[in-house]
Amino acid sequence: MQDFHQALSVALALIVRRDPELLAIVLLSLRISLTATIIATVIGAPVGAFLG
Amino acid sequence: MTRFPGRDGIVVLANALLGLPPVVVGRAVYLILSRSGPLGFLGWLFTPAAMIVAQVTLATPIVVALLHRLTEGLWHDYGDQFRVDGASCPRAILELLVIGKAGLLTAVLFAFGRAISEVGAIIVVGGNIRGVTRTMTTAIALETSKGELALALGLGAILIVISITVSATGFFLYRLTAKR
Repeated sequence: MQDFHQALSVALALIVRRDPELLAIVLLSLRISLTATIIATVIGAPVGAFLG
Repeated sequence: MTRFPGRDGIVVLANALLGLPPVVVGRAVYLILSRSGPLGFLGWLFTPAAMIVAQVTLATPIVVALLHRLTEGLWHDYGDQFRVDGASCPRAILELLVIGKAGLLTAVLFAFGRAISEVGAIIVVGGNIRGVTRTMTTAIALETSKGELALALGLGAILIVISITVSATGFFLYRLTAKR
């Protein structure tokens, strides 16, 4: 439990002071998933509507 | 709208792909992009591009299946009108997507939800390389198995906030567009 509390406070500190590694990971995630979502929509929406 | 041979097959396939395990997709994309695979010459393996390919493979069936369900009713309501107007097929599809924009938005958010929360496929094709292909989910998987809870907890919290934001945005936009 002690470990968990400690980890939680470190985690909060990472977010609050915008840790560069954390920020880079979050931004990469968003970049990849947003790009994938846009491509999937451009391909999938017309196909889905055509099948409808 | 149109009945062509194989149409039911595509519908069944799209629905089946909804439940595809991400690791299997990752493995398949890995084989295709690997040096000896058909697209190996691109050199995309272990780059963000490979991860995008994997997520597109996972997200596209969601968009197809949801849009199919959405437009099934719309074709029924508007199909005759399109035919009377002499609208071409691409034109009719575009009109339908505009009419069903609330449903389209839901599909987009669903697709994004699957993409951002998925770990199995991108860890296989991306390799979880620090600073290059490490995303929130792959970092959480790694840090947790290393026993380093802090970064995993921090990323987990951010991921939850993103999820709730996306869901709330969808909810309010849906209300807004559905009212009209």
